[in-house]
Amino acid sequence: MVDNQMTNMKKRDTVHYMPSESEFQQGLKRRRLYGRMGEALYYFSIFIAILALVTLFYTVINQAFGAIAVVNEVPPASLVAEGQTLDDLSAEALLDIIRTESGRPLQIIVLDYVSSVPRENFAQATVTEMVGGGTVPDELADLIVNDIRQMEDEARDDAFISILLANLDETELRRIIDREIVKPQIVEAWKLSDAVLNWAATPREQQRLDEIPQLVIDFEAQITTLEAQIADLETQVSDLREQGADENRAEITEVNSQISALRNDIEALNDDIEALEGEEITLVNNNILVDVERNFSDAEVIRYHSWINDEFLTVPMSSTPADAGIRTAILGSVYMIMIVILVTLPIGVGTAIYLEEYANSSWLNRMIETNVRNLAGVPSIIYGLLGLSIFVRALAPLMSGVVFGVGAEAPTDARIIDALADVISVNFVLEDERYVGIEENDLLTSEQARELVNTFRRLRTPGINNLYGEVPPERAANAIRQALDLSGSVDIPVDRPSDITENMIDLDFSQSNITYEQYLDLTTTLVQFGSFTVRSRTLLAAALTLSLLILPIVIINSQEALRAVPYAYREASYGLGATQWQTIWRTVLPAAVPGIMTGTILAISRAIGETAPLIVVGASTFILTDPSGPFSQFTVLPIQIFNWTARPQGQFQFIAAAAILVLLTLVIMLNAIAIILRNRYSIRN
Amino acid sequence: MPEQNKRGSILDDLLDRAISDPNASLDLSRRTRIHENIIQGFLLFCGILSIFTTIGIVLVLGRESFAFFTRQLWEESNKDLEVALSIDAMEFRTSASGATLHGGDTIRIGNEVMFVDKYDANLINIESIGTGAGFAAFCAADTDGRPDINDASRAITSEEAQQCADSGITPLEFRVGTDAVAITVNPVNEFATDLTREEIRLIFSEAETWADIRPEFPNEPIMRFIPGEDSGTFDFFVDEFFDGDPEMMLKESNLVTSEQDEQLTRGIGQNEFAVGFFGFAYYQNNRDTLRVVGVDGVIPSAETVEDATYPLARPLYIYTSQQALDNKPQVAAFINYYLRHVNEEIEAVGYFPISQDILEEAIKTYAEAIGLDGNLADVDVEAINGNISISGSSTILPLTQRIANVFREDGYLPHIEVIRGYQDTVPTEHPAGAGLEIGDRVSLIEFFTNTIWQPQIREFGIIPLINATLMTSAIAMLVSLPLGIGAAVYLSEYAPERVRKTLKPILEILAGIPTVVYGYFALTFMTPLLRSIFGIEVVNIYNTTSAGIVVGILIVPLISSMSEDALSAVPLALREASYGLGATKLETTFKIVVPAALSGIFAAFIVAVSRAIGETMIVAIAAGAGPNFTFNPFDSAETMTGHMARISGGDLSYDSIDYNSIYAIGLMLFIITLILNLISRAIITRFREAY
Repeated sequence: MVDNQMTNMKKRDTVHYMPSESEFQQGLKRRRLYGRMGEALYYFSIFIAILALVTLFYTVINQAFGAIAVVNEVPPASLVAEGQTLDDLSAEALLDIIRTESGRPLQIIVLDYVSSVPRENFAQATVTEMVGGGTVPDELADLIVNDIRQMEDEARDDAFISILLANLDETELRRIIDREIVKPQIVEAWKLSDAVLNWAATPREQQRLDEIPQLVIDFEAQITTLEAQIADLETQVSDLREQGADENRAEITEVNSQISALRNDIEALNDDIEALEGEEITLVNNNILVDVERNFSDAEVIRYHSWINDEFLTVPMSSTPADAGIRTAILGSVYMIMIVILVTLPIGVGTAIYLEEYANSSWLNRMIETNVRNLAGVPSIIYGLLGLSIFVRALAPLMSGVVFGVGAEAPTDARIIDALADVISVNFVLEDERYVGIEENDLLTSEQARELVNTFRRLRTPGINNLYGEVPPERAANAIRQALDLSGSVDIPVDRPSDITENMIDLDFSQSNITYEQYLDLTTTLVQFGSFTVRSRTLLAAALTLSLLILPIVIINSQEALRAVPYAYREASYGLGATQWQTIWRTVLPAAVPGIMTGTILAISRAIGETAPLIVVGASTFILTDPSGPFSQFTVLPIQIFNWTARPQGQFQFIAAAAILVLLTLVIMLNAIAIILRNRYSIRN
Repeated sequence: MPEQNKRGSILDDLLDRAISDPNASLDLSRRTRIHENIIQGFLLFCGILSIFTTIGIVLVLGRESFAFFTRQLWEESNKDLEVALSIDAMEFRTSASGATLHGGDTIRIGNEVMFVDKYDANLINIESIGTGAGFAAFCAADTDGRPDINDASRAITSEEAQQCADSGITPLEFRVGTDAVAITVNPVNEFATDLTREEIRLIFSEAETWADIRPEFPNEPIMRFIPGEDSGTFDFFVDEFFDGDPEMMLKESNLVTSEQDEQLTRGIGQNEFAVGFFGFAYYQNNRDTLRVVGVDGVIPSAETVEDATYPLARPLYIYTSQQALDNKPQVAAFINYYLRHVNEEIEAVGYFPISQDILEEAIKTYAEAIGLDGNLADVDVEAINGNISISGSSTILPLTQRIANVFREDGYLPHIEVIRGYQDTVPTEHPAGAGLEIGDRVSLIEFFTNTIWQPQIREFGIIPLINATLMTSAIAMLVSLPLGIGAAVYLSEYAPERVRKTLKPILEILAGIPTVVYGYFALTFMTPLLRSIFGIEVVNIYNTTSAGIVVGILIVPLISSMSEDALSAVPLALREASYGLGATKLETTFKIVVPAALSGIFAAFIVAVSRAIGETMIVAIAAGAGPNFTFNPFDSAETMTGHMARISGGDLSYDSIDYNSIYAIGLMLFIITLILNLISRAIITRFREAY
């Protein structure tokens, strides 16, 4: 009996232990507490994820909008009569302002804002050609532009004004005035959060700001008094010393201690002044209006400025943030996505159909399947390397359009040295179509010659920082300067490529045998070379690279969509006598279209935001002209964002945020469409 | 409509045939077969295209990486052609110093590349370690680092000779000159002009002040500057004054010992009451700062030493071994030169030449040793190769160096045997003075072990890049793993259906945001946040932590969606069974559901790691531009991907090692991510619990 109890107890202790009611309740309480803590942790994870998303949007929106301080070169108010604004003026009045106030001749205005012919053809074009589809004033219809340029001053201005009047409306004229005369410049910009929270000083801050200068003055006055006292005491000390240092030792010590006490006071006052000044700076920095008033007194401040505006969306890139826009980038993105869709949709869906509907489990098909899965995990930058090697380099003639007679050929060494020999008569030596050197002569050392040829060659491999397609005179001039080891500086504005004039070049030709004229000729030749550089880093090459990148995603998504089509559909189709292809084309595909669309749209949205492969393949960051087709140079939104983000000037951060907002809108729209499509589709099934 | 008509007519046609000929096979699909085959072919082609992509990636990366590792880099060396090189010359000598070559290297002169068949540096390595230490090395049993020649400022002792004999070395002694030990004082010192041997003994041992020597001397302490114990001069002095017991001298205070004679001259020159002794040559070179003291009334000079009236003169020797002479023709040639030129050079060093008789004797020793009679044979120095190592007394060093210079001038220079016109270049004539460039390649070992990546200075070690990649990835995983799995558990186990329907799209949007936007986010939000928390001095504006955290946020949706799939796949029955046993929700989740889905979660983890490693834009923007080998997460460092993006974004010439290098990095990246993805897929297919 006792034994039995013992065994029972033992059993209870080890295996079949049942807790007492109170123990159980306690344990349950504890377990439930853990449960709630765990649950809290999960909520926390989700919370963090959402917080990240919210913060991201907050950061972007915070920078894409905000306050700006604008300084006008010429205040608009000074252009019009008292009590009027530019909005009140007629077209004629506006043109009058342009004629009198703009520093540039009217023909340049016509060239920039009306002309539709290339710059170099401007003078020789007829007015009708020149305005393109625009309106031509009757009396000018038969003239060529040069005729007008030859006229007397008065008549010439009238003629150009009539052309401008006929082709531009008030809004456009006002914009010209804005750009040519008023020239607003954003001197400082603030984030949206600052614009909302730190706009004007509160009465208390204002009061503090008002009293700080007075306090500082007071303190300084106190310091002056104290310093005077110290000077007195010091005279006392020296007097006492003269009377006998030993006898007056006690007094001297006492006065000295007074002096050091006063010095301490001064120090304390100085500390106070410093603290006040620090406070003032903080107050100024934290209040936009105060800041503008103190630091940019002639600036006009706009509290809610949107960096995304008409102009931002419709003008091309510029090197000043305020003038920069994303038209070329948006167009580049759109063109590229079109090509990507054209390439990936048939191939991706085709592969998916093959794998789902036709493929038996042979080794080849298994390999294709595995391969697609692995490709989906390859980092995107590797695709960039693939694109660079295959499309940009190996298939250069195809990608640049040379094969189709569209693009231009690469400047071979032979062409480079022909061009060089034209400008400077030096015998360059070619061997197997490759430049090998020159005999040293008094014009160039062989080192300089090699540098010169290399400078021209370099155009063949432009990178992201290269303004290729358009080598600006400044860059060309500097490159030549470096090749020739000339000391001095070249200062040619990048934004308005114009003829290089003497006063822009401050070079020392005394050490060189190259003359100033030859230097200019070399620069011009280099600029021209830039325009027929091989351009295999084209929209097409980039689009094909991106296509390869998203192909696996499209394939996998399409496969899933096809798999989701019930097998009964196929059987029904076969039962009606359809062939396999008829079944696929008429039954399976239509049923899978929403799924395929969802997958493809998600893949496309990935392609829109993809940056790394395009950097490697060589998207350009500084392009002023819209992409004209698959063989043109291009830039896309993410590249533009990357470029702006990487720039040190603060204002680029704002336009980067603006561009991000545009990109995010695009991407989220596509995502939303995909999600909605999928939700409807899954409900239907 | 017409199509339907057409189809109708086909059907009619078939029906007609079926009725008219019941035996005919009714193949409804034959007409469509051919174009269907074409379609199927096209579809197969589409599938194969993806294989071509992989092949393309492998080929491109492999080819350029191969070019990276085989590419010849040319490094300018400080070697110039001594004399013109004719078209057919297969060997030549160049001036020596600096970079060395090895057999199997390539060199380039002008445009011609040459293969180095054999290279002899032909160095004369002279070490000043003191006569005693020199003999110790010279007679050592160990052949490693045993000098061929020992410069000795005294004759070999019997112990040393015994040691040599034990090691099987037969030392050969050549007297090359005479040195006098000069006792010197500071020039300001005008009282000590002539001292007796006993006084000198006192000065360097017991005496404390000058007054201890002679009462009329000032009562100032004596500062002693003497050569170190290993120097021959020290041995000579101890033998001469203390019967070979150095302790008497060394125990004294105010004593400075140094193997560097210059230090001693400087010491004496700076202390008014200093005294010292060393080789006469050094006194001669420092007449301005030192004054020599006469011994027993004799001032040392060429005459007094020559006629042995100066008591402190000593002989100078060089020792070589019979074995060195037998085995090393370069040593034999050098001794030959030594004996031939010693009397021309010795006076310039400040010692006294030996008499013709003694020289004759040395020449005889030499001739016997190399098995010749009488005179010194002429040596064709240009035919001699091999290094010479000399050690021993610093007293003789300047003399040996002068002889070595003569030896070099006569043509003992680095010797290069080459195969001309290597790598399809044409052998041409090269003028004297043409520079030599040394070919170099990036070796696999360097690539994986070097901790510097700086293409400008030809340093290609991938470690800093991999280190930065691992750091950002590790930080990313620290952030994303708990968050991602937490979110997945919440979505799969806790969230009501409606909440899930709202949350999943949000996570998808998070996943769909372009990475360049995340990069902007890292730079303009995360970095300032970190800097405000940890301090501006601590956190660099570009740092791996900021990039890593944001990469983590980027991959949270990836982990959570893959993990959620795995969790959802666990059958409800398992949960119900757990609840039935009274488990709470947390216990069910953690003890039942998560273990059941572990393989899927692990696969998600690996895919996420692979994604983090391959992520480019965030790190390119926020982690920094400059391959920095650092473990500080607040420092800037460039990852593999970041570096590739930066390099290819610049002016990259296709014909450069930089261009090849990004493919080598790319290949590494590809291999790493491929392995991770394969592991992940293997886990999913092999270890997934099937329910």
